[in-house]
Amino acid sequence: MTEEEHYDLCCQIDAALNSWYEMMEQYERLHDDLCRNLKEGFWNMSRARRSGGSQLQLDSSQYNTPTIAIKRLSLVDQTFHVVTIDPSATQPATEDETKSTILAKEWNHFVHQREEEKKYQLGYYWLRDDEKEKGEEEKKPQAVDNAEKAEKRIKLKKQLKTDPIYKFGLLPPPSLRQAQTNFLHSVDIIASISSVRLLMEQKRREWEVLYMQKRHIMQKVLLIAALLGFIVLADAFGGQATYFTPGLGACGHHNTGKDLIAALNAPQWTNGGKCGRRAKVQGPHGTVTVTIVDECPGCKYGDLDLSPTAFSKIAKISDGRVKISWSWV
Amino acid sequence: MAGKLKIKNREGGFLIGVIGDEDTVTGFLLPGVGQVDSKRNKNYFVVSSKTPITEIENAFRAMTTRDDLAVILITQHIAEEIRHLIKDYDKLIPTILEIPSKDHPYDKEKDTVMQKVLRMRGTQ
Repeated sequence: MTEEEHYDLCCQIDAALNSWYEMMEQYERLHDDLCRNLKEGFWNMSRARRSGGSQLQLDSSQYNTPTIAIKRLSLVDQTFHVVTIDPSATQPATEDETKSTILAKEWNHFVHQREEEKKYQLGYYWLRDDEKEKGEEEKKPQAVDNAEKAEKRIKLKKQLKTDPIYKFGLLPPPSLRQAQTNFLHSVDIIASISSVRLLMEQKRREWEVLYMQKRHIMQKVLLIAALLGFIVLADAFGGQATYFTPGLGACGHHNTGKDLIAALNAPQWTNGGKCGRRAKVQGPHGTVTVTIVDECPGCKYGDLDLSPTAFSKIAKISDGRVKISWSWV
Repeated sequence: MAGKLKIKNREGGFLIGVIGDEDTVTGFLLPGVGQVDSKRNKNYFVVSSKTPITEIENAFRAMTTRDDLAVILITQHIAEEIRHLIKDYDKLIPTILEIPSKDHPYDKEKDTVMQKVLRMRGTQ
């Protein structure tokens, strides 16, 4: 994993998080919108109740006949859209074909009956007579008028059939229509909210994948670093060995030339931290394990100043200065 | 790409479920969101002050197992009563949307989904 690739990954993660934040703000805004519309809708409903009086029965018990939902959500490209369904064109969805046709017939018959009931209650038939009279009076635009009225009649018929507002009463007050508009608007907002939710979830998953990738890499990097560190620690030191006449060492002990001791080079001395540590030294002629008792100020990193006895174990005294490799034990 | 969501569109579109008090449900029935099939199965559930919580829970569970709903609208004060069910809910379709009712305004702090979503802000 190169530096560049790592940087790219971090940028991707940041981008995903940013777009997620934007979506969340949009979501909050939409939700506020929704609450506002609902508030208006409720208010209009209260107004309708007051003005409608006893003729208007505004509760869900009016909805006890088989009905099809007109407003539905359809999923296109992972976004929701509100679709309006014409109930006269659809049949109730069932798996069995024969069953569905029977149900459809029943349902249509039922709706038709209900319609007729309503029309009668409305005085719809009387209305039509009224309209007929009016039509006779006006002779000239008679044909046009009749056509218009026929259109209106068809429209009203369709509305009676499909518009659920008529379920609550036959002459809905304008505030009820207003409430209906409010709730219709709310349904649109709900569609947008659901779409945003889906997108948010998608983004979150993308982010999670990227984040996991990054963490995986970080873990790998840490592991490698730890391994390297370990290798370095376990590694042997290389340097030169000399010998000296021990006396009072920097660690505070008296030593003799016969002890298997050594003075540690100044760079590795760490202020007496290595006092008492044992080192296994490999020289050209042998190996010896020594204890650190002193500091060697003039020695370079990796060098050890051994006692004469220790030195003789790994090399000839006459050599004076030999190459060694050693490690802590 | 791993982790990409794919939700299939349903023939005939998804319905919107409503769990709320009388006014909320009626309000959503006005534009034509309500459906009652021949077996009297409704996609809405009216909760009054006398409805026991078990009934609400059953209605909620029934709605969430339906595959023809895309959203379930719940008024917030009813959501409070079945908070334990909503907290454990993690399906994507149908999603749960908390709405205010006539008597109870909307409180952002109590919305489970918002909380879950806001928790992501903390885990950067």
